[in-house]
Amino acid sequence: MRASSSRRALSGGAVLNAQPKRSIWRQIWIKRWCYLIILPGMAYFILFKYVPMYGIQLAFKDFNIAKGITASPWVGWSNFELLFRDREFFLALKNTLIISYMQLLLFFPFPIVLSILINEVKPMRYKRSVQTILTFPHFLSWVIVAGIMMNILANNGAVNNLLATMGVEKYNFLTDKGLFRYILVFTLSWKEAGWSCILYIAAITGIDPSLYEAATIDGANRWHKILHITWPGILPVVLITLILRVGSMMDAGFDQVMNLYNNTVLDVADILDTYIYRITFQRMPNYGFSTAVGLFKGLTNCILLLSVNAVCKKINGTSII
Amino acid sequence: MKTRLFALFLALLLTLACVACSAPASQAPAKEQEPAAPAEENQEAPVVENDNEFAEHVTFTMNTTSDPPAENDALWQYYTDKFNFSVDWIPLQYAERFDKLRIWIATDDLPDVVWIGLNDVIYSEYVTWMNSGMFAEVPSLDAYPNIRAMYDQESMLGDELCTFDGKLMSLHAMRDSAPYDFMLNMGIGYRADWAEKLNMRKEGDVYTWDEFMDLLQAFIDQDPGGNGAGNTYGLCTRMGYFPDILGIWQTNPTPWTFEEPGYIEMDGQYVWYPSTDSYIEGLKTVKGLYDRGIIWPDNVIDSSETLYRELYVAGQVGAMAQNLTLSWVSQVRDDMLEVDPTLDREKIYAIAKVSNPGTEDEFYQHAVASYWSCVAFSLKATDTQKDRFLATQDWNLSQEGVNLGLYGLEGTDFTVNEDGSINLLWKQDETGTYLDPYTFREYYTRLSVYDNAANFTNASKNPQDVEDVRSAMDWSLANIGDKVKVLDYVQTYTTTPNKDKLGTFTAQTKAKVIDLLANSTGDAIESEWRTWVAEMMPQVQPVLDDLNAYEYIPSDPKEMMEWVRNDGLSQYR
Repeated sequence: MRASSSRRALSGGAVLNAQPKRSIWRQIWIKRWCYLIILPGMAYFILFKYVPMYGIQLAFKDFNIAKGITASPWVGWSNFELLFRDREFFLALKNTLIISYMQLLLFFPFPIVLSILINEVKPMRYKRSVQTILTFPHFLSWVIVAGIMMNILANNGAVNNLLATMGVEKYNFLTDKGLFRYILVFTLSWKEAGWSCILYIAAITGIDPSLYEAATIDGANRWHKILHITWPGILPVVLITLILRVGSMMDAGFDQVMNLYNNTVLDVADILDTYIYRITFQRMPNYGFSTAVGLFKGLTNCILLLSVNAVCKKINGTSII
Repeated sequence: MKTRLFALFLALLLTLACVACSAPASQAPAKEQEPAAPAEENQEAPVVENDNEFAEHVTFTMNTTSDPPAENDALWQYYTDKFNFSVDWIPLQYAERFDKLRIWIATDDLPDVVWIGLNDVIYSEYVTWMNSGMFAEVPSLDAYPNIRAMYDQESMLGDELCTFDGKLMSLHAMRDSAPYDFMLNMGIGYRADWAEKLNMRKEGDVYTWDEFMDLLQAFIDQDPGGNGAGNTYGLCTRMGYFPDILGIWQTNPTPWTFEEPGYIEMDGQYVWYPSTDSYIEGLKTVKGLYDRGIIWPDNVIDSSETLYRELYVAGQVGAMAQNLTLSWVSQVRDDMLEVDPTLDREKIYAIAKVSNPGTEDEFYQHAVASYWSCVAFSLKATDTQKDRFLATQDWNLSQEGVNLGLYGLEGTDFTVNEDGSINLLWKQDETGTYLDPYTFREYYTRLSVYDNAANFTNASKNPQDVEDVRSAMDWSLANIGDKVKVLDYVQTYTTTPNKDKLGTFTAQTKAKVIDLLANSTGDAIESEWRTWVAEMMPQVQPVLDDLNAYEYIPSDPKEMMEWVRNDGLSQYR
């Protein structure tokens, strides 16, 4: 049976090699079902990601809504000059980087550790229950989470009512600039850690069980198995998610910050996305200026992505490009 | 085969998802929103025969921040049958009224009939849009005599404001509020029953600033509502009105601006109001209240627009500042009585007349424009759509239209007594409150006239509430009526390159005020504010330079209104 299959393969290979080179259209036709599946995705990216790039020129124009994009006059770099003179922009940039790094340092490792811990749980029913409970908050919108945080931390919220009952003075947690970024990391971890685990648990599941069996025979304990089998097994996945995360460092979580922040913590909470939203939709709109901020953010993300990708490729051979 | 079918199915599904996600917002039908309460089941729409002039059925799209009339509302059916039209409503949250409008304009996706919540936040943009031909001209009003007559009132400015190059570009909803013109009763409602319990209520509810703040402090300390230690708050309001509505007009320059701090005339020149000593004094006063714990601590973070009211209704706050309109007062009282029917209606939300902290003989009152909001037509609106809309609005202003808007149909919902008074035939609940059988009147009939004062003669309103609000407004008129100014139409209805681009910096100012209230310590607020103002001035100065280049900078309201009537605005547009 095996010999017969091998012969067919060899013979097929020889036939393939002997065939004249097929046109690209012919190849597409042969794999048409695969391309059909790709088509809507490509259409989505072309329509909603590439076509709107036409609007990037706004960053170099004094946009007049009556004239439209094309007829509005070019102003060179003046929107960027305005940008680099704007105190709020630098504040937003600083906050974006700080919040992103905090998320990278405090949140990013959390689901990795969590998935390893879940993997070590032996009773299957308990393991699945834990996983389901941890995954559930992902399906709550940030509006709901913000409402929950208000109910917990506001002056007449649960925590303060508890403090008052114990005779302790109430504290305005939500106006404390020092606490706000930690509240962001905490809520992100609570909401997304379970969901992020799925990827790592899948990677752990893909590790050959015979490796663990061999390690057990060799006298390895749990810690040894995690360190020498599980961790190397999921490392490529960790690196890819790291590359993607760093590639979106300038996105510190619009939905989350928008719903949780308020004017009392604006100095430490205003990120580039909320800044763009405010200058575009909550003030006198200056679309050229807003586009300049967006373009700056996009380019920076792109540079970060390529840099981290190159570093990972050099160190580990893992990359996405 | 299965694989192919699956691939085909998946591709179709994804394509459908893409198409669904890209549907423009304006196509979202109003029906998807939660409908307003339906009319009573036995209420049937009277059969109406269309006039010949409305033989063709017309449908138009229109945005609204109120609940649209329910499809089965008998009065709405009567009305739409009469004028043979229907509306595809585009419901909005009130807080997103400007954001959505900007998006629609940027994407050329305006509804046919556009309601604009016109105020100082959007004036410059409004002028730019109208100047740029983003909207269609309003047809001649000669065919709509009631609308024409409304604009021709002598005491008000109307179509002068929305005429650009001789073309009428929108319809302002004029305020019909004589004798309280230009006066919006902003103020504080409070728990007079708690004050009586503490033996601190003043006759006529007239308080000096210190007396009232001491009363609120007593509410917090002595807890007359029995909420438990730390659970009674002094004073709360809606975030959008914070902090000036607390009675501290120094944080909102009442003369010459509207709603938000902006530019005011001082000694013949415009200055940025937040940079003045008066503003800083107001800021220090608010800070004092916040630090004393009189202001509800979460007022600085509450963006819900409703939480402050819920707290008051729940009996956790001693006073609440808001627009003291009849409908607001009635609704608050109704809600509180629903929670606890044993409460005294008059005392649970009594209207306090509290003097300003700086001047004990002056009282806070808001100056308003002669209109509230406006309606414009998009370029895609057809002549028939425009005509039908204007015909409905013109009829709304007739006596028959006013009565339909207030009560419904003569004979079915009301009869007119010999002395002209209204005999309402609506059902009443056990407290004697009339039960409105319709969802209709809340919105559509108020698009061309904002008839706040007309409520005082509205037979369906609670007589106690009418008396309380009217007496408060009469008291204000008698005491401070001559001090209430009008909007600076010169500053707001004109356009300059820098003003159009930079605006009034209202959002930044409000954000900084709230930041410093919560985070500044003690007297440092003054120096921190001055530092911030100094940082802002390079951005503000170009706007001031533009405004101060005007040949005419108004200092007298009557003179300014005359200047506007004589087409003065056109030279600065």
